[in-house]
Amino acid sequence: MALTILCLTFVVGLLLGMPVVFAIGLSSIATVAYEGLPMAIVFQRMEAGMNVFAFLTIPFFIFTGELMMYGGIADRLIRCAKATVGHVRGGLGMTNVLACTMFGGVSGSPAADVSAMGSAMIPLMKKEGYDGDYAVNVTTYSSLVGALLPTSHNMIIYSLAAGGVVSMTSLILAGALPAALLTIANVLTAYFVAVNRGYAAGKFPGWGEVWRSTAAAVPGLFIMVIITGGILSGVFTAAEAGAVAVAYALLITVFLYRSLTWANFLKAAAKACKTTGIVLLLVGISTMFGYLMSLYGVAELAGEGLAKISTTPWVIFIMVDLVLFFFGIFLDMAAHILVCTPILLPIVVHYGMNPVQFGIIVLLNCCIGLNTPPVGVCFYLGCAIGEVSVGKVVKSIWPFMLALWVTLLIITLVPETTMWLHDLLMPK
Amino acid sequence: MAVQTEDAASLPPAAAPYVSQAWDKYFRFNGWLSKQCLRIAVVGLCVILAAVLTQIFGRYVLNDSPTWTEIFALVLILYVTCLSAAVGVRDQRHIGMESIVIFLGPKGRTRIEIFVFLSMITFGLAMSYGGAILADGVWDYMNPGLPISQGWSYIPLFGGGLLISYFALEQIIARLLNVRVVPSWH
Repeated sequence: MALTILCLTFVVGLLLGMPVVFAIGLSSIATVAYEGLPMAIVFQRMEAGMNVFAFLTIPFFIFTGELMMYGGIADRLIRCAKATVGHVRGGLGMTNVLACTMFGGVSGSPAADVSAMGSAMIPLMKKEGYDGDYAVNVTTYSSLVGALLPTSHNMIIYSLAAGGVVSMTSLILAGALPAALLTIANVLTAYFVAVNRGYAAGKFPGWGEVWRSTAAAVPGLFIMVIITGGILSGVFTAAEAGAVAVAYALLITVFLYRSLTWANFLKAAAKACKTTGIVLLLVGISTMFGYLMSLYGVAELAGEGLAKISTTPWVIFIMVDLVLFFFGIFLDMAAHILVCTPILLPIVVHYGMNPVQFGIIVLLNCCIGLNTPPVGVCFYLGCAIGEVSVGKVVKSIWPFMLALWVTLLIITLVPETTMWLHDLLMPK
Repeated sequence: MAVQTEDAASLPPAAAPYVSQAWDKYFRFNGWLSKQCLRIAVVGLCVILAAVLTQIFGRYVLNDSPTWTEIFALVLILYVTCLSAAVGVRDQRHIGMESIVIFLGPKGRTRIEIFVFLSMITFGLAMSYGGAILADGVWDYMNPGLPISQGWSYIPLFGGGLLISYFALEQIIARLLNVRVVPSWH
């Protein structure tokens, strides 16, 4: 009965349009009240869930991304990408993929990536004769790579949701190859669609421009080196690496690029606070929700349900992918990770999947959700920026979605894509 | 008669609904309150950043890692989170999914939205009550590494819960008056 109350209040709340954090909170309160436990227990667990030093990484990574967005890194990355690959057939499409991937490495947020890169690249591509739907699809799909790169705060959220068995270091290492795979898939798709539509090749600007534009972009990209190097070498904890990244972002945007104004600094800080408030409150209340789900054996029940269909690991993994995809199209990334991980992680681990690999699979499924209606934040953002109708973009979305699905399948069924680099650098 | 929030003057006339002067003052006050909450959160975030950087500086430069920075940052992030989360209610930025509300007419939609905000008020009050109980229960215990009461870690839940309820109530009033609450600080 208690489990029914927990699930029913949560689902009804969601269906009525209640924000996830309040749906989770109220369902937890209702369940605790039914069990006759003191209500303060919900908020004690919530406070404990938020009060983890590693979670300071979340505001710091978000702040870094906002500072880089307001600090003019986008223009430099686009110039660098255009000089490098702009002369290929469908050159601006290639430029877009490369620039979005690089910005994703700096911001770690697909939505920020679409905002920053889309605002610059989509109008430029349309002006140069590319179709709006192509420009939107290239931008929204390329931006997803950011979720797998070291600055992704969603990695920290997964680390929490997995119950502390997966470190940030493991996820950074495991995300590297899938990020490369996804980038290759995006480049190939953008290229073949460009060839199919007959887009022209750009002009090579010369090695001088390649060198100058790369030199201008490298200080911004160095943030990835600071975070990855700092954490992997053990010099910083993840939260400290985040703080150093913010300080570095401030230094280069104020003193080197000279493009961050006081007003923009405040905007970046305010946006970072708003996002932090939303994400950390959700993280906190999900701790109680996760506790109740484990108390009532939800993972075991789900596992038994899946086992009735099949006990073959790869079939189970694909079914888990489908479940993750289903939730991903309705829930935002943080909520998706926090709700699905405690239920599905024990199941895939039971069938032999490493929790680190599962983390990357969850993130990639969240990415699919970001570009799939009805929630699809990146999808709608791209359509709005490009001033292209949703219907038109959906009609030509399939090659890009197929590439993403193929990448997901490879990562799901070939553990080496996530675990090879991880095991090489972090031997047991 | 005046427009509803401090930023509403910049809206085109068609989008600036008119309410009585008393309600206008009420919405303006809430806009001001939300902006102050966010300002405090921004200062808090910068102080947390400074504390963590001090920790790194102490460890690698002074060879004397300060012990207070970590717990200080952890207490402060609770204030940043709860204040910003309350502002998120006013700005309607909390993560949700597309609901069945889109299939309803304007009246049905308003009723469901009011029900959702009433639920948020309930949660906020419960959070405030839980925070107060917990703060009271541990008030006599000191934080290890920082000479302040452990109760300070629960005060944000108390204050944040009240603010969440207050801003959710504003959303209900806005719907009843058929006006839109504009975020105070974009």
